[in-house]
Amino acid sequence: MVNYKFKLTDTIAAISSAHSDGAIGIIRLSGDEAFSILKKIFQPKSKNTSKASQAKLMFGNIKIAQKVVDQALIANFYHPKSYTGEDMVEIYAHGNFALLNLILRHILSLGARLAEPGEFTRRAFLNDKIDLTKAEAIAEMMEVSSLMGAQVVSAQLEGRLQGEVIKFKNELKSVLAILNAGIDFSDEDLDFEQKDKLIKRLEVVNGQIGVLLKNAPSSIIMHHGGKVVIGGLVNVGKSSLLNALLGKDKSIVTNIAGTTRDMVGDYLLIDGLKLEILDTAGLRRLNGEAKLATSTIDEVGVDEVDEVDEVGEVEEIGIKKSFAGFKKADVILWVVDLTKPLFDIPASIKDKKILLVGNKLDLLGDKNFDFPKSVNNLPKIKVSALKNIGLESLKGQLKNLVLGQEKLKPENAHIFNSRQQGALQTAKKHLTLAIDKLKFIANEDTSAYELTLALDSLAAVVGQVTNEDVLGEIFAKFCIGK
Amino acid sequence: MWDVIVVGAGHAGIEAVHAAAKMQMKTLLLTMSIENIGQMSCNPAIGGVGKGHLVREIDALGGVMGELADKSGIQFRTLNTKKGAAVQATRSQSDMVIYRQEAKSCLGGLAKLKIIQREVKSLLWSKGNLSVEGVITDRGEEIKAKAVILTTGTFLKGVIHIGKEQFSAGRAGEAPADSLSADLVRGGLKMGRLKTGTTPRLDKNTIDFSILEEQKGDNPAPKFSFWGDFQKLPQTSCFITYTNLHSHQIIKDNLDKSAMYGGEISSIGPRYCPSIEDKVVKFADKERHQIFLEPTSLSSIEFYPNGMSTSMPIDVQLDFMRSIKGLAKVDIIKPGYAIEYDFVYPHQLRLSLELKRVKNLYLAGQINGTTGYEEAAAQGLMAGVNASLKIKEKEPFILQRNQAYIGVLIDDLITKSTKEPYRMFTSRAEYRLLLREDNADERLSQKGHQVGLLAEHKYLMFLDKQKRKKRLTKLLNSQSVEVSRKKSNASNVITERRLLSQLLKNPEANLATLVQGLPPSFLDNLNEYTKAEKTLVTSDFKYEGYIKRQEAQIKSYLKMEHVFIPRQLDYNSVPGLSLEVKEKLVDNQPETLGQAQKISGITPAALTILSVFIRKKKHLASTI
Repeated sequence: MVNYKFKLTDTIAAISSAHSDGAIGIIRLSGDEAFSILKKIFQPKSKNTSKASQAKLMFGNIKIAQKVVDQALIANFYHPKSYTGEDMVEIYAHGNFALLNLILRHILSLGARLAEPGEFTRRAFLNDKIDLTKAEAIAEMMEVSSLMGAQVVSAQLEGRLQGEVIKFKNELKSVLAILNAGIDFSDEDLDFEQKDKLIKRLEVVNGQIGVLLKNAPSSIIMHHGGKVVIGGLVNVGKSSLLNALLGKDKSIVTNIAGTTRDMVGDYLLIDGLKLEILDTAGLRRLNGEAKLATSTIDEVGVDEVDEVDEVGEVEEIGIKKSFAGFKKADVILWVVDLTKPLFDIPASIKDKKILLVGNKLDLLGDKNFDFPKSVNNLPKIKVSALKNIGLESLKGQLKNLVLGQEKLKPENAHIFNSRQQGALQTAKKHLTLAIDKLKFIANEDTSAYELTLALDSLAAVVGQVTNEDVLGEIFAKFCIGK
Repeated sequence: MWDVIVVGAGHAGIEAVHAAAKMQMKTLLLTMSIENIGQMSCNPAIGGVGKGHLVREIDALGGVMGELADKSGIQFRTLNTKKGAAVQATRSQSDMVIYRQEAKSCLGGLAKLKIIQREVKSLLWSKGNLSVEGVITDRGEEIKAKAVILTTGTFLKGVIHIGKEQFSAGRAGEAPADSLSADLVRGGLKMGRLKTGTTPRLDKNTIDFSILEEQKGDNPAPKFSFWGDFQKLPQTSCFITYTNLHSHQIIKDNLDKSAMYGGEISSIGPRYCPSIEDKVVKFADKERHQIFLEPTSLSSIEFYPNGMSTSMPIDVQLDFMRSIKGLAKVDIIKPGYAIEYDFVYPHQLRLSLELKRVKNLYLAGQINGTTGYEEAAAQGLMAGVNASLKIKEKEPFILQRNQAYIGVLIDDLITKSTKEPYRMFTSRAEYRLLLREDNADERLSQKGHQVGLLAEHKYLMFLDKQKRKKRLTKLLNSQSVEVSRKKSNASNVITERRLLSQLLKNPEANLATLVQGLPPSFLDNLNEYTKAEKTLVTSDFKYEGYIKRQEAQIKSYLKMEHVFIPRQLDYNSVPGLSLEVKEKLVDNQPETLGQAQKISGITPAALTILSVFIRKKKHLASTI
């Protein structure tokens, strides 16, 4: 874990743009010495220097050892009106990574220290510029690459999750207060709310947390994107499907079984939802049983052999790879060849969300095809990857399946990382226990304790109660300079 | 030269001198009235929720309040039997005449203690007021001591209000201690002003009990003391009646005459103990308020109408009382009154109850802004022990929040200070499930013995009890019972054997029901133990899981508690702290990060900055 000790007062610097060549590169400085360090390396074009030193935006030269190395635009932010709440400078130089590094090294030699991951945001948090949920939202924003994700993050920036959790907290606090009052003032003639009413109030909150949690996987996928893995027997057209979905030649497509050795994939956007689509090596039937073996590229030539008697060592590795892929998938597209309909789906993936894709619809001609009863419980679709039939409909089904049945709207996707999900799950666990205890006589003390634990977990979500470990964990996730 | 001087002989003073004398200190008790040692100046009751816990802790440590309450008790009840074992609490009605007698005879038996009737006019300050060397009495005597403990209650600049009338007094009929209060201000202590109220006392012979609801004590009577059965008085009843709309109208019509509502008193009173004026005004939609009529003594005609404190003029008090069922012909023996008094803001104290700035001066009880006999007694005991330990050049005796309500009390006072009279509630304790009345001895008796307060014979009793408890625990841990249950999704009933100790963890578990039908050999063994012992062990099983869970919390709490803030830290030199936070820290001077964390208004961000700063300082100090 990153160690943040002793580093609150010095001036930090880092390259804040992508660590590769681009049109423009950004270097950030924050701390008491930010402006004085800038003076030593930057010469404004404006003649009126006294005026220039007050300006927020300046154009001029970056000089190292009296030599101009670049022209740059400078933005000054005076504390506390800056991102970190400290004096800050942003240097927009040309995006040559080697050049940016040279400038940064020079800045460091003038007394700044290289920022640690997330340190700019950590300072913003410590200076009360942002709360913990917002700090996390900013961290996530850096990783967002889809519109839907950005919407979720902006909801978080507006504090939607925080608003929800504060509502829960207030309600639990209110019930806890009544329970405690009943305990501490039991000898007095006070009209406390009856236990069954308190239980009902707790159950309402428990239900609302339950809804948030139910939406959590979809929320998280909406933000981070989902993973779709294509599986199936050899030569059913998995790679063709991948290419058709991506609209480009990503995997090598031949009509030789087992062309795909490693998992191949790319990103696909469906209505703003980011999905990573991966192809796997095809499987073979083993002795006519459900146990499947993969093919590998070594077997080019053993064309049309769908069934084998034994599994070789290389194949074992292939099997493992494919199944590891299935395990991580949010949805598996299980492809079958409608002209050779075989429906053994490995038992080990049956608890996954599966969309059954009947491929090669074009080869059926006028023949009707009905899926067998054994796959009645699976969502299914008939397509032709080659002739581009049914693919839009497949995308629609795929999106719904990834996001779940609830049709979660992005603005309702409150939870977007597993830390928040975990804390809410803990809160729900304790809240459920509190409700259970309250239903028995002489358990109000333990019920109240469970409520305080639930409150602690809720507080952890919005960062009102925090400790250095939680902080360290969150801020360690940040990229340097962001 | 005395070792310890204690000023004041109320409930704090009694515990303080008792502890000091038991710890072999040459102890002097100065009181303005020997007659009133151990006076119950408010209601004639000891204990209650939270307060009963304190009494049991005092008793477990070797203090006297538990025994005094048992010896003088005329009614005992267990409260919260339906709320959970951890918050169950004992409450007693005391015969206040007997309580005083028992207190005096208890102190009379202490060889190391001398009691003199004197008023203390001022302290004997050292140069610069940085320490105290003794006291100066009303006769001008200078009495020197190594430590002085002030337990002056409501006597500091006490002013009594009855309607528009007001006069200086420490309690009804007793003179206040005005010059001592002024002396403390001169010595640099930051003082504030609080108020509290008491009820009129009623003539028993003019109450019609025949139409009132009777409230009897529990049978058998629960007791406070771990160390034997000291109860000896005949048991008696309380009675319950209610105010009505007519009574409320009387109050409303006369509000301008009340000292509290007429603008006479501006200081802050306890929110949890409102006067009848407050109740009528603030809870206007309530049609009646409950009144407990409590006997003050078997030998007295005085009855105490609990919950009816007032500062109305006497004629209004009488009109009001006579409007109440059963009190139509009642006579008032003594009127109710409000009292204002000076207190010392307790954040100026260390956890040992010695002042941070003034050496050898300890404060305990209402002078620290608390209310209640039990809160006072707990502080008195701790001040007595700590003054003695310091004289013996030993480390102070500090109880943590996870060890005792006494720890919660003192920690709250020091880290949160107080704006209203502080009373103990169980909800103030984060580790409430650990701090039961019935395990107070387990938590504290070893410590009480170690500091030299708990007598040897009591300690042996404690050890013996622990042995028996261990055997009983083993017995319940080794016996299994056949239970059958139906799984919700299965039709068949599952029968299995489970250990008694496991089954007792269930919220609805009951030992007596569970052991029905078990072999006689087991039942014989079980019957060797008392009901109290069985309850104790059952509670232990029930709370076992929570105890484990709280241990982890305690660890992180103690971690913060053990990060010390340098004494001379200049908060202005800590960058990033807001002005408000800086002011609070300067004002409170927390000794540890844990204490800083508990000060209201200290944000997590501020705490992080502070902790980083302290570590940075330490780091620099260690590298230079």
